[in-house]
Amino acid sequence: MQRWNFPAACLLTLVATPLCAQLPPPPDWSLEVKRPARRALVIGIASYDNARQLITPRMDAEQFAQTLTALNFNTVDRASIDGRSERSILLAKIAAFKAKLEPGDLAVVYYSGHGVQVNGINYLVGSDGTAKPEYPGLDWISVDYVIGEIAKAKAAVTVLVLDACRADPFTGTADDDRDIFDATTAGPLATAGVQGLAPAGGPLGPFVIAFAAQPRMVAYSRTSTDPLTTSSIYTRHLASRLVRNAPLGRALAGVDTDVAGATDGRQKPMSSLSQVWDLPMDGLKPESVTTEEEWAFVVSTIPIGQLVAQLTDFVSFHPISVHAAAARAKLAQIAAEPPSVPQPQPQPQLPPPPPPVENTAILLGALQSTRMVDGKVTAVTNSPVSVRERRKGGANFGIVSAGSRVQLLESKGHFARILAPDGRFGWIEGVNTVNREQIKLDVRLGFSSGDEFADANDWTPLGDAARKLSAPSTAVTIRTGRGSVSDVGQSRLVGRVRALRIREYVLRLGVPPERVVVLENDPGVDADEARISVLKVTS
Amino acid sequence: MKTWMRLALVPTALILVGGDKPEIVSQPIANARTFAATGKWLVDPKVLEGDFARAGDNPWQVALVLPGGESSSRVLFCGGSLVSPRMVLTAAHCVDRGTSASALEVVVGATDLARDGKRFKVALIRLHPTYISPNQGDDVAILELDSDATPLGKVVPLIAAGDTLADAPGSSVRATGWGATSLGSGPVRDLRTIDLSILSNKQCNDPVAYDGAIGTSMVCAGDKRFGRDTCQGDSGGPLTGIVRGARTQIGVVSWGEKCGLPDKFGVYARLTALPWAQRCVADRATC
Repeated sequence: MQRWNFPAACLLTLVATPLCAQLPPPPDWSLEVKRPARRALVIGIASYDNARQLITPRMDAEQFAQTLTALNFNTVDRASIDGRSERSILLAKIAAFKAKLEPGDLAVVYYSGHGVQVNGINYLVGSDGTAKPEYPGLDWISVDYVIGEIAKAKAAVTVLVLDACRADPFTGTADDDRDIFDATTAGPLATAGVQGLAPAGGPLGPFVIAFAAQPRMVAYSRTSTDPLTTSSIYTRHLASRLVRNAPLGRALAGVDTDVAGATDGRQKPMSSLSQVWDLPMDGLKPESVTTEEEWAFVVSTIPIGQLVAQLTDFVSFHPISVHAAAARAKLAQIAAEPPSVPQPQPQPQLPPPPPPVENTAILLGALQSTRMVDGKVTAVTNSPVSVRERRKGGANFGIVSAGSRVQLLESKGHFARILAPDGRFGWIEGVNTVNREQIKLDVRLGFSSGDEFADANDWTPLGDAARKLSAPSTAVTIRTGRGSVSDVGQSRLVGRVRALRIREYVLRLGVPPERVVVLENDPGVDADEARISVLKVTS
Repeated sequence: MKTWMRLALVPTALILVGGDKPEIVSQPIANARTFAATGKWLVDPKVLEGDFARAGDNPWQVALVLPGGESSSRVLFCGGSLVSPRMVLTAAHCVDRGTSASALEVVVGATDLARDGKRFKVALIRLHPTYISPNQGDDVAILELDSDATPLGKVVPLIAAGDTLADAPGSSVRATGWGATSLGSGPVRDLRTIDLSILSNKQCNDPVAYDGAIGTSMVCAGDKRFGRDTCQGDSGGPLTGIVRGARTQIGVVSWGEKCGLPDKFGVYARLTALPWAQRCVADRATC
C-alpha cells in the first residue's frame, strides 16, 4: 500500500538504491478501518426553584444539538427540551449516556445553565438545587463527577462544554439582568457578588474542557439588543465555528476571538485540551493524507517494544482516527499474549563497567528507549523478560510481557534494575546500553518551514551521511524537535511525522530495526531541527 | 488504603506471571517495600489537610512497619490501635493474602515515628472470619503481640456493638495516621490528626459518592471542606469519637476512591456493626 505524500517522496529521491524498494505490505491487523461513533449529551436548564431563571439555555441546547446533528454525530441525547431538569433526572441522563458509550467513541457533553464553584470545585445546578447545601456534591453535581463517569466508559476523547459561567445564581432578583451585555454601560462582570467557574485542567488522558469565560469570570448570556429567542453569545459563536468544519482545537481558538470581539474584550472564553492533537468533529470527514502516511509507518514498526510505543503515540495523537480501533486492538492483543518467548541467556563475558543511568543515550536489547516523556527517556521491554530479585539469582518475581513500559533504576553491564508500574521491581538481563561518549557521527537537519511539508533540500545532510549511517556495529538514534507552528498539538505532530520519516529512511539503508531508537519531540533538540546520531555498539 | 486506586495503577500492558513462587504479602506491605527500595510511593497518600497531633494525645495509635532492628528505618505501611495490652486492631486488608506474622512489626508509643516508641513483634494475625476484601466490608483484623505493650501505649476502648448513637450522621470523629500528605510522597514523620463528620449511609450511597457500595459494616466520614480525608498509609488506623465523655474507637480506616476527591468520602469499618472485634478483644478464644 503506497500512501506517500509529497515530502516523503522527496526523501525517497535522496538515496537511490535502498529507497527504490517498496514499502512492505501492511500487516492484516492494520487493515481494519472503523469510524468511531460520535455521541453527545446536551443539557439546557433555564427553570430553577431556588435560583434566578435563565433565558437562553433552552435555545442554547437546541442550537448546539442541531449543530452536532449537522456534523453527523451518531446520537445527540437531550436532557430536556423544556429547560427543566432536577438533579435526579440529570444523574439518570448522565448514566444513560455513559451506558450508550463504547470504548473508542467521541463523547461530547454540553451544559448551559447555572454553574457554581465552591472551594475550587465546579458544580452544575439542577432545577431543584438549593443555595447553601452542607455537602455541595450531594445537592448539585460536580463537573468532576461527570468527567469521571464518562471516563469509565473509556471514550477515546471526552469533550465538555460549559456555558455556565453566569452571575451568582442564588443572589439578586428573578428578573436580574446583570449578565446581559450592553455596549454602552458594560463593565467587567467578575466583581463582588458574582462567581464564575474555577479553572479546571481536566483529568489526565484525552480530554477537552471549554468554558464560556475565563476562570472566576462570568459570561454574558446575550446582548441588550438580542431578541429573547436568541442563544447565548458563547454558544452561537461556538456553533458557528464548528459548522465550518474546523478541528475542535482550531474552532475553540476562533471562538475565543469571536466572543472577545463581541463583548469589547469583557468576556474571554477558555479551553483546555489535554493530549488531544487531532480532533475532526465532522463524522464524515476523510482521514488526512499525513495521518495515512503516519499510519503506514507505524504499522511497519518492529521490534515489538517500539511497535507498542508507536501505536500508543498514534492513538494519543489521533484518538478518533479510523485506524485507532485497529491500533487499540493490536495493543490489547500484545498485552494479552502469553509470554512464550524464551529468555535471553546470560552473556558469557564479564559485563563492562556500569554507565551511570543519566548518561545512557540509548538502550538496546531486552529494554529499549522509545521516547521522551517530560524530558526523560522511557523504556519498553522488547520481549518477555524475567524479573529476578538479584542480578544472578534470588526469587523470580515473574515475567514482564513484551511492550511493557518500565522505569530504569540502575544499570550494570547487561543487567538493569527496573520498576514496573505496579510497584514490583527487580533485575532483568539482556540489556545493552550505549553511552553518549560512543557517538561516532552527528547529523543535523534543519527544516525551513514549521509544518510537516518540508523542502527537499532539508533532507540533503541525511543523504550525504547514508554510508556512515549504515555502517556495521552501529546503532542510530533519531531525535526531533517540535515544529514551529503555533498550535501546540500540531507542532508535536510535526516532530513526530519527521521522526517517523527519518526512521523509515534509516531502515531502508539496512540498519536493523532493533538498533534504531526514535525520540520524537525531544526538548533537547531545537524546534524545526532533527539530530541523527550514529553510535558504536560494543557487544 | 484506597484499594480502587491501586487497581487503577496496574497497567494493562503489564503481566507478571509464573516463575519461582514469590513471598505473599498484603498490598500495603508490597507498596512499602517498593518505597523502601526505590523511594517511590506508588499509592496515594493519607491524612490530607490534617493537623499535627500533639505528643501523648493518641497513646493508642500504633504503626505497622516492615521488620527490622531497633536502629533500622521504620518503613510504615499501615496504622492500628492498641485495644488491649497485647492486641492491636487494624484493617484486614493490611495483613491479608496469607501475610505471615513475621512480615511485620508494630511500633507502639510513637508520635514522631522516626524517633519515639518501640518495635513489638507480632505473634498471630486474626482476620475477621467473613472478610474477603475492603469493598465487601468486615475490614478488621486483630494482631496479637508477643509481649505487653502498655508500658509504651494506652488501650483505647471500643464502642459497644449496636451503640448506634455513637456513629450517627453528623457526629464528630477524629482520624489519625502517618500517611503522606501529598500525592506521590512517602509517609510523614509526625502523626497527623483530622476531625471529620459522620455521613449517613444513604448520603454515602448517592450516585456521585459510592452508588450503593457502602454496606452495613461500613461508615463514611468527611468534611464540608473538600480535600480533608484519610488516605494510603493511614489504613488500619483508628476513627474515634467522644462517647459518654471518653474518646472511644468507633471505626477503622478502610478504603475510598482515591483520596480527598469531591464526594468520595473516606470509608471506615463500622465497629458498632462488627461485634467480632469486641468479642475477640474480650475473649481471644472467640476470635
